[in-house]
Amino acid sequence: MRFSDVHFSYGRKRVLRGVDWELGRGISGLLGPNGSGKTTLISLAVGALPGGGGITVGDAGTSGPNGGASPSLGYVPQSFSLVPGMSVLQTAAYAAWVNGVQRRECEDAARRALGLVDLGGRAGERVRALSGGQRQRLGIAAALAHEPRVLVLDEPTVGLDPAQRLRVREVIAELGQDRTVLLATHLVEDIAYLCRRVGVLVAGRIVFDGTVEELTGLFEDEAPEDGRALGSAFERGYERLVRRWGAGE
Amino acid sequence: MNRLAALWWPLPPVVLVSSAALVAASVVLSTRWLWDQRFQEWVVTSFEAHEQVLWAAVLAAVVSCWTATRLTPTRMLFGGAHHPRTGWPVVRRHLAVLNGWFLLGYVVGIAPALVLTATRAQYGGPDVLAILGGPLGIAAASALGYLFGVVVPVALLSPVPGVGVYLLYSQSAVANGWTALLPLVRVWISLGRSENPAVTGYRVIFLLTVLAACAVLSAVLLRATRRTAPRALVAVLGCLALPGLLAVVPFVRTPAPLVHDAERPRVCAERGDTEYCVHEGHASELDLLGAVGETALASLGESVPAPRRVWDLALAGRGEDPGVVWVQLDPVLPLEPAVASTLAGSIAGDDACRQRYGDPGPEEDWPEAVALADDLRWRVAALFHEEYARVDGPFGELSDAELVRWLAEHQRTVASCELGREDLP
Repeated sequence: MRFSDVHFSYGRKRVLRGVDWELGRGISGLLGPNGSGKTTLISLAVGALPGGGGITVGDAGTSGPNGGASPSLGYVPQSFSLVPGMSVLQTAAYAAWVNGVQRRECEDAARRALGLVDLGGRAGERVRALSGGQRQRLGIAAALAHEPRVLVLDEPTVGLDPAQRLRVREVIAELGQDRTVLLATHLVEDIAYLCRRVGVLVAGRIVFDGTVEELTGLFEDEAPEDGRALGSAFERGYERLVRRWGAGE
Repeated sequence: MNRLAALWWPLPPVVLVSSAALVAASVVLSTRWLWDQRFQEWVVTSFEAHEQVLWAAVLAAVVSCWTATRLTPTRMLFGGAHHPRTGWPVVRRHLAVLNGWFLLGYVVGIAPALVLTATRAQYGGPDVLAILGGPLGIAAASALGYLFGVVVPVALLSPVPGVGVYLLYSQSAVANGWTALLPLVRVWISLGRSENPAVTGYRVIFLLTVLAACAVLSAVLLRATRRTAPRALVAVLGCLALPGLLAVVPFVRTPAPLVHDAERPRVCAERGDTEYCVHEGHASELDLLGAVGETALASLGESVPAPRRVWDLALAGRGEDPGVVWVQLDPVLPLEPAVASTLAGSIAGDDACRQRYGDPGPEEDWPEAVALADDLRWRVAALFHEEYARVDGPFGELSDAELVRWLAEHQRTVASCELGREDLP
C-alpha cells in the first residue's frame, strides 16, 4: 500500500500536507498524537472521504468502482455499533455482503473470518452476549470476511480492559503474518508489541518512517529533558519526535 | 446460505412474516364485507383493492423505518459510506425484501375478494390500474418510512412515519386533488360507473415516482459524506422535484375520480305492463326484481297505474327517460325493501312532485305525498319482511283493503302531486 503526496484540507484548515509512505506485508503502525491527521488519512485510504487519489494498493486505487472502498481493503473504524439482536454469524455475513461478497457466499466467508479471530465457536450467539474484546474481534472478522489484501485498523484496542486488549493484539499479530495490516493508534505500546514498521504522523506529515528499533534508537544519545523516567525507550523516542516536529509547526 | 434464506436475508424472518400476516389481516378485515355480497362487481372489488390499504401502508412505513434505523446508520459496523454496497445496493435489497413480504401479505389479504369476484361477477373485468394503486400505495409508504429512518436513525421514532402516512393517506377526505395521488379516494362506486382511467393512471405514476424518489434519495444520503454533502443536496432537490411537480397538478386541475360507463348493457323481462331491466352485471337479480315488483304492485290494487319501466339504477345516465322508476340494487342489503321503497315513492307521486317543486326539492313542500309514500314503503316492505309492519302516520289506521280503496279514489290527485291535507284519511 502506498501513499504518494497525499494532501487534504477541511475548508482552510490543512490536515494532510503531502504524506508519502509505503507499507509492505506485515503490520505497520501509524502513530500520531490526537489531531495529527491519522483518522483523515485512514478515511481517505478506505474511501470514506473523497480525494484519496494518491493512495494505491498494488497498482490499483483504493476506491471501488461504485465509490467507497476498494474490495482489496478491509476497515475497522475506531468505534462502531452492532445490532444486539443479530447473531455473530449474521453480523459478519451481512458485513461481508456490504463489502461486496456475493450473497450465497456470505455465510461461508463469515465463518472463515470468525475462525481467524477465534470467534468460530460463538457464531450462533447474539451480539448482545459478547464482551468488549469479542465485539472488537467481531469487527475485525467483519472487515476480513471479503478477504481484503490490506486490513486497516483504527484504534482497535482503545477502551478494552488489559486481558481483552492482549487477546485482540494476539489476533492482530496472527493476521499480520500473511497480509498487510495498517494499525493506526495513539497507544505506543500496541505499536511496540505488534509492528514491524512504524510511521509517525505529526501535523499532517510523516516525520518518521522506519522500524520500531530505529525509532527507539533515534534519540538514545539525548538525556531525558526532565530527568524522569518516561517509560520504554520506544515511547521516549516517539514522544521526543512528536515534540520536536510539533514545536516546529 | 440456502435458497430459502434468500427470501428474507438480511432482515429478520420473524419481523417479515409477522408484517406480512398483519398486512394480510388488515386487508382481509377491510374487505371481508365483499365476501358476503349476493353478487360481485369488478368495479367495486377493484376500487376496494386500493381503498382498503390504509393500515397496511401505516404498518409498512413503520417496519421499513425500523429496518433503516437498524441497518443503515453510519455508526453501525456495516453502515459506513465506505462500504462498496452502501447506497443503492443496500437500499434496493432492503426495500425489495420488505416490499416482497408486504406484497405477499396484500395478495393473501385481497385474494379471497378477487377470487370470489372472478367466479361470481357477471360483467366486466378487473381494473388493473385501479388495483395497482393498492400495492403501490403500500410500497410508497414503505419507501417513505425507510427514507425517514435513513434521515432520523432512531428506532424509537419508527412510529412517526406511520402516523405521517396515516394523516397523508386520509387527505383524500379533505381535498379532491388528493384522489389522483393517493390510494384512498373515499367516494362511492357501483356498477355503471368506473374509476377515471386518467386518475388511476396518474396515481400509479405518482406512487411509482414517490417510491423511486425515496429509494434514490435514501441511497444518496447513505452514500453522502461531509465532503459530498453539496452534491447530495443537489441530488435531494432533483429527487424531490418530479414527485413535487406531479403532486401539484391535480390541485390545479382536479379531475373527476369516477366516470359514467359509455356502455351499459342490459337484460330485460316483461311482467304485466311493466318492463324490468337490469345491468348485465346484475343479471342474476332480474327474476327477483320482477317478482318483487309484481307482488308489490299487486298489493296496491289494480287501480294503481303500474310503472312502464322499472330499471336498475346501474343503467341510469345523464338525460335518461324520466318515466323510468330507478331501483338501486345493493349487493349487501335485501332487494325487497329497496324495490318497495322505490315503487311506493313512484306510486305516491314522487316524480310528479319533483317536476312540480324541483329536483331535488325540499320534501317538506309536499308533506301529504311524503306521508303517503312513507306509509306505502312500510306496507309493501312488510309483504316480504314482517318486521317492517307498523301502524302510525295518517294512513296507519287504514287496513290494506281500505288503503287500496283510498288509492283508487285519489289516483288523479296523487299522480299529479295535488294531494291536500283534506284528502288524508
